[in-house]
Amino acid sequence: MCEVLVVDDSETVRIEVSQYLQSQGISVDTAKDGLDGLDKAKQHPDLKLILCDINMPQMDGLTMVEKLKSADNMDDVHVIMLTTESCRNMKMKGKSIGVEGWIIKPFNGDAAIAGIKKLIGQ
Amino acid sequence: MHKPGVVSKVLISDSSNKAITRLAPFVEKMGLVPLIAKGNLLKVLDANQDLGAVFVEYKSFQEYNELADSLFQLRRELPVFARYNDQSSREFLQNLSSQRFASIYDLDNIAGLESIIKKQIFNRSYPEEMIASIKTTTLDALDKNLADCNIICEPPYLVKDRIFLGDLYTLIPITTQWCGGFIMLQVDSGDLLYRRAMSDRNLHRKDDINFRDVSDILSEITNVIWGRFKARFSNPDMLKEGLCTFQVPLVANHQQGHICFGSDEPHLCFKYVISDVLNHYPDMVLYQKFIFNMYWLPEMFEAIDSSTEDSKNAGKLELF
Repeated sequence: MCEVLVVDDSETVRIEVSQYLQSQGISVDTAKDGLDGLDKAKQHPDLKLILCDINMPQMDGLTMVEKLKSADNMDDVHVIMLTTESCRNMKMKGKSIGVEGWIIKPFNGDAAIAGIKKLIGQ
Repeated sequence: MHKPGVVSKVLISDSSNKAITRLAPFVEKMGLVPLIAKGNLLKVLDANQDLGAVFVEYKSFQEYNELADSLFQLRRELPVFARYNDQSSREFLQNLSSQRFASIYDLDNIAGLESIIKKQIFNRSYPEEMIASIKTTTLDALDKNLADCNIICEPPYLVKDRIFLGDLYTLIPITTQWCGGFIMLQVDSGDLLYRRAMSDRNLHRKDDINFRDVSDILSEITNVIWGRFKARFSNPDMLKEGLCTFQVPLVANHQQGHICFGSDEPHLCFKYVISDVLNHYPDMVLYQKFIFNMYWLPEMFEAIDSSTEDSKNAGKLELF
């Protein structure tokens, strides 16, 4: 079972975020870039939320979200971007393709957990 | 043209106390930090690897030739200012290849150095808003990534040297409507960076530190700094098509510790001294360099105010 998928090219961020979410009783899987994220998302039918970086090799996060949202049975998966990007245009683009939340790095679990739990229905 | 607050270290090697007494206050007034070399210049040079220029004296034909050759071989990026005492030494220097010095001078025409120092070192006016923002956002990024550390930022300075310091460096391109180049971070791959970063994340590994872990931490810090710089100083509406389609090769020589970005422009450097408040690990130094080697259009400079608010909200979830 996997409720949240963490997609980030930094291993440190993947470990940090997934360990924090697991400590909150949330099941987690990780992916190292956008392509890997698409693959992993398809492997988890019970997936509720993706926490996703933007600047990654192979496929960036926003392209991954666009592809994910156009795939069958994936449009109800919630998406939050976890990124160093904070410009308005990029947030607007994210919103237009179905991103529901934005976290500017570095990750602060305590500041984000209430919103994450709300989105996954805990 | 020189902005108060941005300095550059220069080495002065001169056996004449009179010359040093005249030259040192003059260069200080221009924003240079004079380091007086005592003993063998090349040894002193070896210990000072982030310089803006070297001031030397002409003593004899043979001695100057040897020194000029060594400087050219070892640190040819550094502008050399050579002092002469009399007409014959002036004529000798004037007949040398211009690759062997940036300018020659005597103590009676020292004021003539001003325009050459400006041309060689202070040829760009760095926006004060940018300098202040780099410092505060980097301190914030380091503070948010490293637990239990004191971090001090020294005044920014310009270097002509192309030597990379420490064991590890990261490079990330910056492309805005007004500047293009790279941000580089350089550190020793010491324990402090890793331990305090892991501690900040409440992560603890039983196994030994691997260099890949330290690289990953530095990469993440670089990413945060880059993101803040981009949010504050890049206006995506103003980014012209094709602005970032050209590049030049970077050349890194690890044996020589030398990195070349294909441009003679000075690098804008910030030095952060990071100390462990728990005194478990030795201090470490992080060097941050801004290398605007691709383009520099200060008339297009813009600081985006909203980014300051965004960085204050870092870590918090903004739901749409």
